[in-house]
Amino acid sequence: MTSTPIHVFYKSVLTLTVFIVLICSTKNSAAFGLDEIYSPNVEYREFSVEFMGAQSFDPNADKSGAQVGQVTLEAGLTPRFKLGVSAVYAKEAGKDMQLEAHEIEGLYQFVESGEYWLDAGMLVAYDFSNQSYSPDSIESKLLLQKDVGKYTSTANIGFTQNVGKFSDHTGGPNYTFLWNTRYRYNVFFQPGIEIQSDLGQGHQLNNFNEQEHYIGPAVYGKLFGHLKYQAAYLVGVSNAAARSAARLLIEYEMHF
Amino acid sequence: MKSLSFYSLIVTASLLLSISAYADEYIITLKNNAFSPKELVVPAGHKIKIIVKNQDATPVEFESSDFNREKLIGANSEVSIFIGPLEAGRYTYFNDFHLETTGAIFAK
Repeated sequence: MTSTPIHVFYKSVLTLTVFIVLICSTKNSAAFGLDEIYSPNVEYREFSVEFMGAQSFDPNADKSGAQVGQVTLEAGLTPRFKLGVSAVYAKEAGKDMQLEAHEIEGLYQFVESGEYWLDAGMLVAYDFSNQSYSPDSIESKLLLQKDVGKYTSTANIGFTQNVGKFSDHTGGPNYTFLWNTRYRYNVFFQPGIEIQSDLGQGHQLNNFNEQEHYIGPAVYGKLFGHLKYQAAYLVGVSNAAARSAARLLIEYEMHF
Repeated sequence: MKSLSFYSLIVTASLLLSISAYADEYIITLKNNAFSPKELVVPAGHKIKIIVKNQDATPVEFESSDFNREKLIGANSEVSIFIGPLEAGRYTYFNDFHLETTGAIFAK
């Protein structure tokens, strides 16, 4: 039987739906922070549905089973600007999965991809907390990317600050550093390495073991049609990190 | 405050590092669902600018994992794409909406 575009579309949506249901129904988890590593480049007139899920693994029950999940709708509204809205789910070890926040994010691409030595952009996101007595937060990330031959490296340097009601006494901003380098073998398979570091707040910046650092292999690419994926299995390399963590992202792209 | 200054420094440095220079401009045209020229020869070791003109009545997604670009080009529109510097070799690209529509860039 041949696959028509409509069959491929339904197959993709079905796969995505099954995956989301499986992840959201998983029992076990704790609030930790593996995140998507954003490219600074905007794809104009592209609308995408994206799911990102991550989970920690550790012999210590306090660190094991932490989960985060994010379902996002994104649209490249101009050649340089992308707008997204998300539902953010999180689960701490031994607790239930909860809808933690609704998020609105804007990504601005500073320069045309490849025109300058470095591609750069900025992501700004506002999280509307869905939890009682929990503050909203604003996140800003500097997005950098560089192609060298068949390798692409991307870095995200960010900070998150609690704002509004209930933000008193929550301290200064929390800093993060994310990095990946991938080898573009072909469209479908691009292996690489990923680093995810939650550097904590200002007073933790000089204490490596109070920060969460993960490093490990990752793979990126297209599954089929317009369905993209990212998967990473990372090992915790600081005391505060879990022994390991995994993250998976599935994105279905459409154009308007 | 010290941390914010550091963050500002990184932003400024990254913008300063964004230094542009490209050697030449080339044109690739898509008409009747075919790229022309089918194989474009460019100098190796230089950044180049390619203007991709879509002369068809339907949009095109110009894509290449060889040189890492993905651009939607509307019907009867054009976009500029910066590539390189490329090492000598053959780099393929395609229209993601019609995978049989392909082309290549030779860096010599």
